[in-house]
Amino acid sequence: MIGFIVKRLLSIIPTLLVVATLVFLMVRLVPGGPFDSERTVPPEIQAQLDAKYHLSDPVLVQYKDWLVALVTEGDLGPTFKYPNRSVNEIIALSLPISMTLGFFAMLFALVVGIPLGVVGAIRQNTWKDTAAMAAAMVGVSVPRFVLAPILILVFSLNLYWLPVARWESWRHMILPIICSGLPTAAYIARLTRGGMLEVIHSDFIRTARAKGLSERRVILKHALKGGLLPVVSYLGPGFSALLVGSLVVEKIFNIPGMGRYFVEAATNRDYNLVMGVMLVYGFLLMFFNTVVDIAYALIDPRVELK
Amino acid sequence: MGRTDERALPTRRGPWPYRLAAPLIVALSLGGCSDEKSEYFGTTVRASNLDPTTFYLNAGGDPEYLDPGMAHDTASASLILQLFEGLTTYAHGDMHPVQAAASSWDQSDDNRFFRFHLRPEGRWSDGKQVTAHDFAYAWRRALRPSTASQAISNLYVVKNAEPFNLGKLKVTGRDLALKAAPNAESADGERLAKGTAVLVIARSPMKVITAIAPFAAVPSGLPLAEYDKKSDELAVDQGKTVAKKAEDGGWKDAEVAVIEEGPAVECSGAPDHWYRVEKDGARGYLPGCLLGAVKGKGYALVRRYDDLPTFVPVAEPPPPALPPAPPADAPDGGAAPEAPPEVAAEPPKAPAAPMGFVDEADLVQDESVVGVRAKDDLTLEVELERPTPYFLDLTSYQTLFPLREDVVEPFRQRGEPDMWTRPESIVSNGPYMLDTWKFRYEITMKRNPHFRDFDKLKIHRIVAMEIEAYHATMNLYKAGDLDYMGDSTSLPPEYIPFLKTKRDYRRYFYLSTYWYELNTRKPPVDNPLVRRALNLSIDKEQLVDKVTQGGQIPATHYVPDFVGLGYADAVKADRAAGTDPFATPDTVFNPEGARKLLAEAGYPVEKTDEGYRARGFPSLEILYNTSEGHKAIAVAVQDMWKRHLGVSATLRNEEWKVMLKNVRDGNFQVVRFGWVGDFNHAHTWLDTFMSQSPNNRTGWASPEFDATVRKAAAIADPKESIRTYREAEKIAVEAMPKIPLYFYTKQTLVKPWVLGFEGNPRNLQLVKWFAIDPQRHERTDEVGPAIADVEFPPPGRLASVAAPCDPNMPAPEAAP
Repeated sequence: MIGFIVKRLLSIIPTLLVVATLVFLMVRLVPGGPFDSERTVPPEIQAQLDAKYHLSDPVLVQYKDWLVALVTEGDLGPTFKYPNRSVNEIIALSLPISMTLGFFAMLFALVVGIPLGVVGAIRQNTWKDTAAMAAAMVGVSVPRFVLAPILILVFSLNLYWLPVARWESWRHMILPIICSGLPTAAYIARLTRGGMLEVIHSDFIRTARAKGLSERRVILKHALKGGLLPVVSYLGPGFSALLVGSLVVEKIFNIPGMGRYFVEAATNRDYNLVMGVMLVYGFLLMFFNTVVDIAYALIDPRVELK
Repeated sequence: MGRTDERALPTRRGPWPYRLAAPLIVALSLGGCSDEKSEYFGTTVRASNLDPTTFYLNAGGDPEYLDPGMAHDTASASLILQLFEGLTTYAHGDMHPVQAAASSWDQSDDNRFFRFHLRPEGRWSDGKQVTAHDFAYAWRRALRPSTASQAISNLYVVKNAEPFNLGKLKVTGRDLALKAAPNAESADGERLAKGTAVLVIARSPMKVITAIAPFAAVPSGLPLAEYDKKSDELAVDQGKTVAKKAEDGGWKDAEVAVIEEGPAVECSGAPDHWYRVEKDGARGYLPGCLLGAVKGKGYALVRRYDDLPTFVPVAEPPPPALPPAPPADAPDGGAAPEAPPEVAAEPPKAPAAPMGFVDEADLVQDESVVGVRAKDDLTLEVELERPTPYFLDLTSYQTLFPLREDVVEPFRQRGEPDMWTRPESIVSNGPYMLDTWKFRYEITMKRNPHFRDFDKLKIHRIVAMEIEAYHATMNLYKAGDLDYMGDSTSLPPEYIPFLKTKRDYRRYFYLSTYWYELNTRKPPVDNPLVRRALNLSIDKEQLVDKVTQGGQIPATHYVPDFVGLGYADAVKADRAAGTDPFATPDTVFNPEGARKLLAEAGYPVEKTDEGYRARGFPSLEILYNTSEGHKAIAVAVQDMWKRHLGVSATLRNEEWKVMLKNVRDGNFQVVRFGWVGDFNHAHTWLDTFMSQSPNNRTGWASPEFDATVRKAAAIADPKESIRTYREAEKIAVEAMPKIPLYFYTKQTLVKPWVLGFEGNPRNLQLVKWFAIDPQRHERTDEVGPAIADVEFPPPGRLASVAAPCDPNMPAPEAAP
């Protein structure tokens, strides 16, 4: 088990390296540079700017310098768009905010999604099931950029219960968490229902019922464990996506998280920031996949870690 | 309305079913209806928990710089203006320059010499005096090549600023001899004393960046050299290919030594020189644009440069005492030579300045070659490169703001030149000082206790939220969390028709022109008749009424009608007299005239059953950066060309930076751009048409236009000067390298409780003008600014050097 975890965590490094190399080259292949603007800069000034950020060096030298700084000092370099911030600082400032939002959004999604899915499964083909699944269907298909304005319109601009945007107190967090978590909750509900249905009709549940266990015990102790397997496998990518932030939610509520940098760094040709954001996301994704694999082994006795 | 005042109430209570159902009910029954009825957008009651001396605005995003010398975008500028103040500042309303750090100034009649008198009570936020040295330091530091400021062209009007900034104007670090050839063994020529200024003409060795084999001899009498990057061919003499890719790759990537500067040539549209180059004993000629600098050290081909600043040649009244020593600048290398002479030396009339090679390592930067000097603590003297009628206006601009050397320099020496603007380090001289800076979230400012009008500031704290999304800004404003939308937030176009009806909606003119630039090197738009036909067939009135809908002014020329310093008056006078050169059938929408012009250009327009068709006219392509707004305009123009001229056009949209790259490489036919005036004077728009301007992307060049603009700049009488600028503009309009579409307006929202707001053409608001009256729920415009402007006394006069205006003044050398 320990050996497996160590092996998996170590294998993240070469994967990240490959991804980093590809991204490093790809962002530089895109036409345009970080200092292009409507006003034409004299070539001499451009040369000074390039020299300041070592952009005039050959790409391989830039790559080597970047890698050495990263490995030896953990330094991801300066950003081009925000000259008095480093990439490290930007990630240090924005990642915790995205993590907080993502964590609570996932919590919300699990708390809402799993019960909804369980109810749907055990009351299959009743109005409760239909209602739960209709709600989930809506939740999955309504995108966040539609959900958010509706929530703001109702709860902020008409009822004046909650602030319209920004990230100050717990009251500011409610709408973004719901908005981030709701589509995930809906998806989890559907996964739970599907998983549960499969388990409920399997032999070992029939055995459990035949043994005269209470329905409550059958569902919570035996069925749920197997029924949640699809949810668990979804948690890896789902969790890392929520943690690093949802671009849309952060934009609409003006939350200073990390999600916005995914698109923005690329449009600004902010090479170092692109690399930093990509590394963080890549690491989280692989890390959570590992966690999911371990969780799998704990839940499902058929899975063995090697 | 009715709901607008509920925000201040505590959370509503109610039985559970109501609480659950309420949102749905409200959403269904009210929806947007409450908005329609209100005279204002959102609440008109300021929440009681908001401090009435704190002003909330949107900064539009995190500023790239709070460093005045570096900032080159409006988002940064609108924050810097609260923190810093220049020699002059903007007046409330029309933004003409009024007193700030300076309380009076003297100038020469030809707009070339300026002397500013600083107020003795000016203080920095740490209590130290604001001195002329702070200005001299700030300008020189911004001009250092290593500072790499992207806003620096604003300072190029200062004497020698441009060649210094481009690293071409240096001084000798020790006594040197000019060598005849770029190597250590060659014979010594004329001697240069330590501290002699030299102009770097070329650096050697250079790298040949093409595969073209060099000429054995330079062809004589050929003014143009067209270099095609793709085919790697060099054409001279009207497109005749004379040099092709060499079989063996020629000298590509090889280092060559530059031996001498040859005759002038224009290479790929830019003025250039032929250079005699040598590699392994073989010699040839190449235009400078085919040569690139090699990193590292080498020999530089230099020429002695005697045109150093003389500052104020004859002063009235004469200086009272001996001026103190100039500030101890520390140029790179530390070898500070003598300050330039103070007394006017008659500038030598283009003597045969000796030319030769020196080791680049022997050249040092010396900031005193730049025409700004602190004569004493309170007197700043400026000598300009050329007559600049808008210079006073320019001193309100952030690039010319003062900086504290003792604050900025330690950071530069530590290798963190951008870090001094953090709240813990920054020292500023404006009404406010930086309090906190939460990255990508908000910036707060508090009153600068040493500001001269500290007691009069009605706003004690500024909260600048950094909200980028339109809708979040609109929501925050609607809920009353923002007092003002902020200078850099545009209203979403889809809101405009609805917002227009609200009383807190403000609209005002903005110093900017939206235009289509034509690539005059590419047929068919290389023909001026075609360009004029394309212009005449666009119905700009309709474009503004139906497409942009923001109350913009249809443009028939380039400089917005409402530009200051005399331009708007000239427009009015011309209109009154009926002699407006830009209101003729040759300039205003005229489809009949357009078709005639196109026929004249060789494309007869026929009327067919399906409308007009221009025979033989190739399809055009309109390029714009991806945006709904630009697309709507392009579609409208495409339709008008089709309808009135029978010319078909395709649309191409590209992401912003990709588009800039393509335009720079000349891969465009018609491209959308705009120009926001750097200062409130016609010059800033017309400058983009000058043949040497880096912002001239159309390739259009007219010596007559260039000369007229230079002439206009040197005329002391403002009226006469503007008239000459209008003549120059007429030359440009007749050639039509850019099709003007409209002059911008800006729209914004300001809460009724804000006093002292007035829209202005620079779209910049100083918070020191504002006050908040939470009891006011109706808009009022009568209340003026919280702090009244202090006008300058009439300027004192300085004599100028004889014959300062030379229309054929040599442009800075275009070394490769």
